[in-house]
Amino acid sequence: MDLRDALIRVYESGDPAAALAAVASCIGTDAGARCAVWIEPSGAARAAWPQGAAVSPALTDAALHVPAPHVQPLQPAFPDDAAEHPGGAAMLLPLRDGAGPAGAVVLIGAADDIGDPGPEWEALGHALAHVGTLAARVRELEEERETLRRRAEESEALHVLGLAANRTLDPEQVLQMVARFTRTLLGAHYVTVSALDGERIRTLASAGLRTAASGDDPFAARVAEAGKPLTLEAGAEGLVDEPFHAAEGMRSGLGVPLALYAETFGALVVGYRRPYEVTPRDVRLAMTLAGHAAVAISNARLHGALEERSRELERANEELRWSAEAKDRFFASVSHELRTPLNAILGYNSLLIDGVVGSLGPESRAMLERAQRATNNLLFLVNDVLDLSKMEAGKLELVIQPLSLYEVLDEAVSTVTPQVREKGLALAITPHVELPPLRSDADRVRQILVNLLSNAVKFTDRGTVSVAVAAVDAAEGEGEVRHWVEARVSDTGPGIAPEDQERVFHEFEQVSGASSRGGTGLGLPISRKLARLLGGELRLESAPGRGSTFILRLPAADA
Amino acid sequence: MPSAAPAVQDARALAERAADEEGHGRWDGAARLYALAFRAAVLDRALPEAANALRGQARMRHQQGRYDEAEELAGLSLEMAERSGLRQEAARALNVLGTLGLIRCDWDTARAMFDRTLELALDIGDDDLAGLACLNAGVVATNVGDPREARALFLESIGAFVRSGNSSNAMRAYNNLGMASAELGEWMAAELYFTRGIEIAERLSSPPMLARLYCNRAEPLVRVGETERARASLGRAEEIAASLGDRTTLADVGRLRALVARVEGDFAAADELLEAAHSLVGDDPALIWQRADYFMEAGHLREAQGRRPEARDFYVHAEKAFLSIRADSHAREAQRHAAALPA
Repeated sequence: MDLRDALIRVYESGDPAAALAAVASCIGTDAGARCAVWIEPSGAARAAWPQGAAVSPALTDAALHVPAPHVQPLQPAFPDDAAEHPGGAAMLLPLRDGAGPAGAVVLIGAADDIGDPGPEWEALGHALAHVGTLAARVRELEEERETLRRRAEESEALHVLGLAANRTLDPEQVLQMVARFTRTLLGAHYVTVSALDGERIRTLASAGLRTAASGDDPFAARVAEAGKPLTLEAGAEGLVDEPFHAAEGMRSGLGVPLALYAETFGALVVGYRRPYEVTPRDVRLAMTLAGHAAVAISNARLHGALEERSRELERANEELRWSAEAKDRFFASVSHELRTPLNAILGYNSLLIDGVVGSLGPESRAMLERAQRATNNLLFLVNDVLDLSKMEAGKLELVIQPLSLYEVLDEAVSTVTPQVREKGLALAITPHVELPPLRSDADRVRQILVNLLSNAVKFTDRGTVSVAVAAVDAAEGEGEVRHWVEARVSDTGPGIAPEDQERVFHEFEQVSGASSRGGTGLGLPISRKLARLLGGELRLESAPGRGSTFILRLPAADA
Repeated sequence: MPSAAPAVQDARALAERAADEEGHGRWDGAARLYALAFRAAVLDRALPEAANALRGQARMRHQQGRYDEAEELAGLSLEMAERSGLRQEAARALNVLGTLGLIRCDWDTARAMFDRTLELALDIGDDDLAGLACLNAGVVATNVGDPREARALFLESIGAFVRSGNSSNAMRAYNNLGMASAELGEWMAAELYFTRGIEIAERLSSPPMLARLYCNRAEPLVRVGETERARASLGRAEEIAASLGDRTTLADVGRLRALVARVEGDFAAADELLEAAHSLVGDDPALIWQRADYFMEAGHLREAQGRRPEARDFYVHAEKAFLSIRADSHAREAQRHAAALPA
């Protein structure tokens, strides 16, 4: 092959070995006598033709130092090469690319076959340098691609671990998973995950330990304190100078801190029982895995705190429940125990007032009558408290049946008539209108009406207490109409300021001026609760100086 | 370094030829060549070569179904390696013994062997072997019905294969991880793992694994309601499996197509597809898993059709088939389904 053909083949080859073979074909036809070696600037062989061919260090050195193509007889300067190629000569071809010297090529053949080192050999040198540079670049890119591929696989594997860890609710399992995965990803013999617990550092999870971790690990504590990766190397005796890890046979180790939200609270330690040089890759991966462990520990702590808080709340709730039940039991029991003696007092008092045991003087009678009123009031209070406690405990029993509001109203009016007469008030009932029946508890409706009427009488000094009833239809939702029966109890008393109107329905609260008129402050709250229990409502319309109207609305039987 | 003695060179050359035969699935030829390699190695007292050749012979006996001989040869290889301090050869022999335990359904022995393999592999820094030990131990965990442990082991194997850079084994580990996740009912994660395996298989141009991965990915897709993608995945699996003549995957594809049809309420199509899958499975003892899975799917289909006595019969058949391969957890599942139906 002539040099021009060789030049074309070199450019076409794109590969140092093939390019070298093309050039070698230019130095004669005796294949047995020929060889070619491509030498790197460092002196290392990059390619050889045929495979395994080599030249002596002296010839290598000479080739790297010639400024231009040069023919060199092997004898006597290079006896080693001459011994392998008797009668041979070498063409020393320096290679240069844009950056400068790029090594050299040595071609050995029969002395007669090696031509003159003219410009064509120089062109071949340039071509070989060009191919070499390109091949080196390709190799670099391939290495880079391989590095990126491995990085991508690492990231993918870490992502997979994260995915599996996220699907595990038990933090211990997650830490165990992290420890085991770290062990193989870093090719280590064992891995521990430790966390600070006050003054101590405890091993929470491990993989590959020979003995169950019991004592503290001062190295892990040191890593946590330093807040950065630390390594351990075996000393002259072959083991590391850390009792915990020496007992495990560690000869090389790496510890990285467990940190989250700027808080370092433990360490992940990777142990090798063989000599091993920790790489930056190991540190990077260990740091990432420590992040997984840190999140798991943090979650466990949050979970623990949450559970403790839940337990506290549960305890508090239990206490509240118990207190509420105790209060109900107390009210029920006390009210019951009070009612019995109060009834006895009322009974004996009545006997005294009625003169059953002898006549009384006017003063004694007046005193006994006062005592009778006070005892009655106390009995009302006790009954109210009992009702209230039953309602709050959800134990008030209702007897629901069809009833006429008029009948119940008549009974209520007759109950308060004596008081109305006593105060010289007028009591007006609206003319009879037709009302639908109610399905309700007659006793409780009566209780509400008596309460409203008594209040009206109590707060009215002059004028009228009036009761008006009506059937009311109210639209509810789309096209739906509900039927109600309303009783409006009005007085001509002082009226109630807007800001006090809701307070009158609060237990044990009385608005300004009410306390002087007696009462427990429980009547209206009980009435509203009863109205609501019966499926209705009790509300107030009032203005200072213009009297008050309490409106009781109850569902009609067909509602 | 002085060049090796001629006998050792012979042993190595023979072992290389045997490995080549093994790679082509020609077990008899490979077994003969490994035997010759062993003799050549013994002639020159070349222990590593002898241990390797014995291990190769054990693998071939395993492939030929001659498990007793395989175990004996692997045991001898282990003893030779251990007595000579050849830790890498010992670790590899242990792995072969573990695999034989797996074949014999001797889970305890298999797991013990794989644990020892892992320890030795970590000692000698052989990440690939460490990964294989974890991968195989994961298969044991799957078979004893512990998918959580299996998942942890498959994750460990991925860690090791990423470290060794062996994408081919990593691809298998992703497939197994997907199977364990599916076993745990973690369908979305399973789909992701199979997809990861597919990406690697595409890159490595590995049609057998690609067919398996596409097939395995179908059920998670069905479970997360992506029946169209499941159908496409099965189509791809079928195409590749048909070109390879892979009956196992084709049988699974048929069964999974029936599952898709059943989930979509097309019971007539499901019946037809299942029948086709059954004809592929036949009585082939190598396809016992596929037959058991077929019985299970047939049970589900009959149950969905309201044909409960037939469904029960299929579940009973599935239970028996699973028990015959010691897939106890699967057998229990089949038994649970059968028990829920009237006799």
